[in-house]
Amino acid sequence: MSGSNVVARTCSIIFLTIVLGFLLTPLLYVAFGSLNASTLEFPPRTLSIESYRTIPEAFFDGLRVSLIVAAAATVLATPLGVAAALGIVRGRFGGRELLNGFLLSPLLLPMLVLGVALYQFYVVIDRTADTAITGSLVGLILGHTSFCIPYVARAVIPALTQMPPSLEEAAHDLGASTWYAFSRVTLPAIRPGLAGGIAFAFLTSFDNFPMSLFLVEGDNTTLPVVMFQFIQFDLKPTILAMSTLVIIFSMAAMLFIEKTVGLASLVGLHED
Amino acid sequence: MKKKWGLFTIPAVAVLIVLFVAPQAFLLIQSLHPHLGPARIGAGWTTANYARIFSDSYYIHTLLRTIWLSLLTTLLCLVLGYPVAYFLARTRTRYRAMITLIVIGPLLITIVVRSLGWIILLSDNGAVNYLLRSLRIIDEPIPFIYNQFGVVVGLVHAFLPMMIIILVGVIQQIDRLLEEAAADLGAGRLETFVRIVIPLSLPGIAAGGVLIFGVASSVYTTTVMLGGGRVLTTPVQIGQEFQMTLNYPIGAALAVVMAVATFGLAVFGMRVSRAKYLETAL
Repeated sequence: MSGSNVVARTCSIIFLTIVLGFLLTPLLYVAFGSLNASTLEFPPRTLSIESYRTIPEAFFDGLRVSLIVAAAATVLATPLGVAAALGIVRGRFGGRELLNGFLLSPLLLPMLVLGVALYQFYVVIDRTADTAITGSLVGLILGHTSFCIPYVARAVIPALTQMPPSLEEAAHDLGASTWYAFSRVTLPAIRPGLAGGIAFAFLTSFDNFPMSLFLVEGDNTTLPVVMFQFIQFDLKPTILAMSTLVIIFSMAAMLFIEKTVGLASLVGLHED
Repeated sequence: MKKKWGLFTIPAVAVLIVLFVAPQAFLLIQSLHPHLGPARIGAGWTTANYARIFSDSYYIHTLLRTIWLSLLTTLLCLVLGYPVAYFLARTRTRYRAMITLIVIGPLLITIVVRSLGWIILLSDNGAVNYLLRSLRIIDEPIPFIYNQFGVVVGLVHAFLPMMIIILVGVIQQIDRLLEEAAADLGAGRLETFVRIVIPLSLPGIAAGGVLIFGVASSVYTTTVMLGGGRVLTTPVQIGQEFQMTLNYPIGAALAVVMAVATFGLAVFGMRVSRAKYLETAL
């Protein structure tokens, strides 16, 4: 190896370390700061887990809402997304590409815009139909469902495309009903993609802030919005404790996605 | 056996028409009505809201600030992301999977927590200012956050992973043999990188840049948290019109403009590159 190559190699390792450090530092610092008992100052005077004991009830309420919304939105979006993916991959009709684009298009609009539009829309529905969707858990879940559908569909479409259609046809020829063939042949074949898509949709909903901000109200406030409000008005170490728990949870989910479908194929280019 | 598979798309399409198309259409209609005072919308039709956001200097300056911050973010993501992407695309190290996880990991953590990390790290009594003070580089803490600097740091942190993923795809499309040929002809690593790899990845860089620029310009959370209300961009303005001033028609017009711009840039970015990896990135 020539001298210049050694220099290039050293430079690239240093550069890599700096960039990875940049990406990780704020997260590690949150976890480190959560062990700081009294203030957010650096360096911490004492290390303790006191901030974990004083996590306010409001955070756990927010966590409960976030988990309910993410689970419900994912449960609603999964059959819709899978059915749509089946239609797009196996259907033989004009405009399939266009329809595919349409299904994925909620991901191309800013979450903020989806949020304000839904909020205004709910207000009008409530006014004309005398319902109470605005600020309700249902309204929040439906809003999240709208972007979970494309995430599920996008994860399942490649898996379905790779699967030879003859497999399911063979099951039919052997006398299997449509549902039996789907659940015993197709479903196992697309399982990794599906599992990854579900996990990703769940996590995207769990993480969501810009849309939720406009749809939450009172008791129906999701964790990211509760945390945002605390940061704005009462920045204390205890929020770092909750944040650390969120980081650990997200990391666990990330490892699950990585094991099932591989992260890189699923990551959305979505603004936050 | 013939089945009408196409019908399977109907439920999802119907749900998206109600939850996605209808609200957007309503937003468009709202933007074409006059504002009669807080939260009150007139019955008549008008394009005055659009005329105002493209003539009132308050909105124009905000728009220009949004473009400037997104451009800066995109450039910094490119500069920081390209070498990492090149490394990931070409390395044979066994740490590759681990490095990929570190790059992508932050994406899956809510932006509220990521922004919080930067707030405490860069605040007056945070670690960065402490370090600079103990090294006697500065006497007074530098205000890193609640200004444009803080916002750009947060934005780069938010979009660097995405940029790296896109660029890895771009670089993997380049035939490795070309680099080996350059090396055989006596070019060093750096020379090969600058004269072969970078020129060949320019179209991909452009497409990725357009995509990142589009999403960066529509960011709300990071700007609000790290700008501390002092950095006004169009998305922040939209939030204010809907939550504080309650000028819904103007807010709707701004939202429509931003939606069209973001959507257009994303589609343009994908079309220009005509590359599959960008579609999977989205």
